[in-house]
Amino acid sequence: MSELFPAVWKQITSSPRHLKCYEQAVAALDTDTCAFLELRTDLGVSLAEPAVKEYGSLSGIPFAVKDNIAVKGFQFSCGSQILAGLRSPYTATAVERLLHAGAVPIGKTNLDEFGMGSSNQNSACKPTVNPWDLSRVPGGSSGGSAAAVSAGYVPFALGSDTGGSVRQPAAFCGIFGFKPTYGTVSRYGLAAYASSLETIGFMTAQAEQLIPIFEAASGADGRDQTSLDCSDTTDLTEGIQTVAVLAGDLGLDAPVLRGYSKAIEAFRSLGWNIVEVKLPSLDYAVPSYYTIASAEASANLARYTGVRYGSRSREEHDHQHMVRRTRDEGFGKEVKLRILLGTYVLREGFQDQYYVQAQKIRTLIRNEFSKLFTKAGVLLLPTFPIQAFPIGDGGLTSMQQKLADRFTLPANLAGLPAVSFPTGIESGLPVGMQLMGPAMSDRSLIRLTAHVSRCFPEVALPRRFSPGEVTHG
Amino acid sequence: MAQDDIRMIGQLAMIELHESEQDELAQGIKQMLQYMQHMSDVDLSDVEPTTHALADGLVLRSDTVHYDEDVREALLKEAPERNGSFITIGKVLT
Amino acid sequence: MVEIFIGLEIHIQLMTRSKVFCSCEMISGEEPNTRICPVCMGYPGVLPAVNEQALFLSYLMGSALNCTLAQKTWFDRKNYFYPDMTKNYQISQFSSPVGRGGWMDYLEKGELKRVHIHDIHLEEDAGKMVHQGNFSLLDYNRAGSSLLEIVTEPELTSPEAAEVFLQSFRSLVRCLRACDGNMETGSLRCDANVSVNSLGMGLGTKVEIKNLNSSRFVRKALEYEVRRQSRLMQAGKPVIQETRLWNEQSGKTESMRTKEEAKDYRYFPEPDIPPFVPSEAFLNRVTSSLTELPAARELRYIREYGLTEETAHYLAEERERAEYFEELISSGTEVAAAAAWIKGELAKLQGRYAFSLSDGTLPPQAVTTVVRMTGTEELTVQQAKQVLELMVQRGIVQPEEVIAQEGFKKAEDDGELKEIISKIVAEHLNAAEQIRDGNMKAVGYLMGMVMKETRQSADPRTARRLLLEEIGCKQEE
Repeated sequence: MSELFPAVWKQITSSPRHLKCYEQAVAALDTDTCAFLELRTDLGVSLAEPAVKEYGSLSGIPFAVKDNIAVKGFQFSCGSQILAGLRSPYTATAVERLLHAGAVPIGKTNLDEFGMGSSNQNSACKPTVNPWDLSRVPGGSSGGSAAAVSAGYVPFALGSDTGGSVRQPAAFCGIFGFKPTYGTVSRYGLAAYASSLETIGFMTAQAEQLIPIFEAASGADGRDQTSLDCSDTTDLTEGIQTVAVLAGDLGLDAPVLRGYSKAIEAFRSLGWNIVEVKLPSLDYAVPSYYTIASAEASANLARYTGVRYGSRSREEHDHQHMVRRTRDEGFGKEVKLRILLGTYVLREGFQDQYYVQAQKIRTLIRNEFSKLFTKAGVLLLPTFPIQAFPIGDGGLTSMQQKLADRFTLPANLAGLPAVSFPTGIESGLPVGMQLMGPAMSDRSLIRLTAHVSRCFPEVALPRRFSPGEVTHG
Repeated sequence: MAQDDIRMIGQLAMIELHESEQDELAQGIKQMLQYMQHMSDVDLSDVEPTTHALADGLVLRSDTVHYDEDVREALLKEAPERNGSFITIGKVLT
Repeated sequence: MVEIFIGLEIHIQLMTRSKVFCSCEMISGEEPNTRICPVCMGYPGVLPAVNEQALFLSYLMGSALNCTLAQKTWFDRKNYFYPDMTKNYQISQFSSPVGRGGWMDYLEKGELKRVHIHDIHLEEDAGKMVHQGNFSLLDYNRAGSSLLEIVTEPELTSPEAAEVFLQSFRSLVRCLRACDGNMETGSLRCDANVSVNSLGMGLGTKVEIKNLNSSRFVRKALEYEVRRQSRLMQAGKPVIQETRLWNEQSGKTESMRTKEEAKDYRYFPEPDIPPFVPSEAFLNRVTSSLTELPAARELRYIREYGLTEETAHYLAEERERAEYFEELISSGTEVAAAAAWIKGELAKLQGRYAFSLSDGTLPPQAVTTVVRMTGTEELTVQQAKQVLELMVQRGIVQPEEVIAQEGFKKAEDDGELKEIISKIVAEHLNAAEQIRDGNMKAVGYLMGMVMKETRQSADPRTARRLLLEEIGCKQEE
């Protein structure tokens, strides 16, 4: 696997002098991009296991971790003021397994607070910007990780994907973003936003690199009883090669539509059949998703009260008042909105109308996908209807962003694997398309993505950081 | 979305809401709820809800004890206020 | 005439080694916050991992309480904020508890009674909070401990019945080794709900009572509450549906006067734990771990063995005692003797040396041997007691060994004993003279000499007869 990653990375992580130069170089570059919330190569190296650092499948490869995933000793802010100052006392299983394969975590990346958002503008910290155009968003919520990989700071990064949070920023930044089948990667250590929907995901500059990373990080974990081994041996490139596409007008921006057409063309050129399919329940995917996600979030974020860790409101008052103040001061607007919405839909007398109805739509969506994958190997669809949008008022409103998640969140509702891959540069910005496969087809889906990607020009940021500068400089 | 409603869910969710943002949040919630209303267009009376991403296959944990003193110390160090081994908070109203 | 309806909500801490969702040790009375980890402290990113033994004991309890056991069970989140609850939702069971619709039989004054069980469900315990002036101190050692809640139907008809039921329930959980049943340490906690109504009118307005940490307080609080509610009824005043606290000092229940806050637990299925479908092997293990329950045992002891209610209750109450009793019988001790030895000498020795009947200190076969030797007059009762005590003291499990060490033996025949007696009489002619004169006090003195000389092996009745013969005094009736 080593040829997948330039040997220079291992050279850097095995030399304290190179490591220091590397950290300084990345830190300097990142003053523009703001991908990292914390960059600590020394801490990362101290966590790495010396024996496997030499021989592991990812030996000496540095990586970045979204700051809603626990790495012992590193900060664990989830992009929120409410967890300011928290140092994680433990390490997430996925990170532990990557450490065991020899990889070296070097820092924590920026995100929309608790993963809630598609732009990185909901971070309590200075927002990350898109390395392709510093006036645009990198996408979200794993925007920091996407920017870090896109800018070349690290060869890969961890994100989390609740409704598209790995795939959408990958599309915005011109890299690969992989959301595995629900459960194949342990969620232990991933700060929960919507437990039944989310997974840890991976971001790389090349599709093939996803394979050893997924191999190392996945597998059943006793600490996450919703986890399981990815034991399936589906080969999507064998047999009848049929790719499904959605029928009708998908409402895409012109540059995204161009990318989409090119992707369909690529499959055709590879000899695949194209079938148009209708998934009627997808019309209800967005409201279903936001009902379930908000409901789960309202409980998942109830633990943040300033009692045991994180920030505590400093005003003098009784305990209950302190908790209310802490949560008011500590949470951003979008987080409050989703907590309150989730509280509302779970209330007695309202559950059937909202929460239960949403869970039933989820059943329909799962059934429609099961049926689809008896007819086609994969589903090709855009990742996001538009390209990276401008920061601030020229961008999308919070509501518009939610509606635009319609292509990514079905995979979360159905628990299926999906990859976003770059199809090239349109109008000066990257475009990403998405492949979804049946449950447990993860490895094959990555291989297919790599195969299809060869039809497209390589998408690489012109001013990309090159690790060679560190060892030669 | 009445003011009372938002105040009530604010209480359930233990978030004190500034007067200034109450209207904006109420608007946002109202907008989402209206949008969610579309779900009732579909007749789902004979559909089972999906409550778990995985239907079954729960592998239980065996009843063994594990303890790490270092972790305990790290946990206590994170507490905003302490009194010896206790974590302290202000007076709890009952 | 009024009718009383009492229901109990009982929480038992299950006897698992680790907590219900993490590997921290279940222990009480430790230094604060020493049994904590990121999971039970509700850190971001942690997940619950269900303890197999906790689910097993829950199913075992469900089975013992004749519940319909769930073929598929899952957990729900119960949402409310409280500082001793780290996630501010409790993982509990709402829509699919482990067991529903069971019953428990118990004996009240020898009469078999039945109380129906509404449901039993597994959940996590909260931490502990100590109030100190303007501050509250939090200790999370108990947070996440495995807790089983048992809810009875409101079928108990008097405070005494509630007390007896609770004692019987305690005996049952101890018998199943599901809980240590200690109410003082809070391993077993009980809230009561009670309503009073005119006869035939059905349930009245329910009042919940909390802070009941002994079965006696349960009775006293209920007695007080029944009086209070009856008085209100007589005065034509309404009973307010509320939660009241038992105040041990004043002997009264007091309104908690909680702020009228919106309460809505917003239960929804816990997404972090897939539903549990017990396998056949799991259910077989549950069935094979069931044992005869105390009430059934007690009834059997009365019916089959003719024991008194009091003795039967004493023997059946604790599983190890009952099993010991039955082992004594099966190894050959008579029922009456077995009961008498357990209630008498063995209880005394247990009190003195703090051992348990099941720990092998006094194997039942050994006790049977010793008891048998008293029957064949190889040992006097006094010697038998001494042998048992020495076995405990010396850590010896073979009674023969202690008997040999002490040289206890039955006098071979009367000849040997006669020889000893005539020697003693010859040496104490004065005493013999006094006895002949009717001073029977001296008999005791000479008997003491005889017993000492024979190292207690002589049967006192035989020795006394021979002594009086030797002196030439007629055996008194």
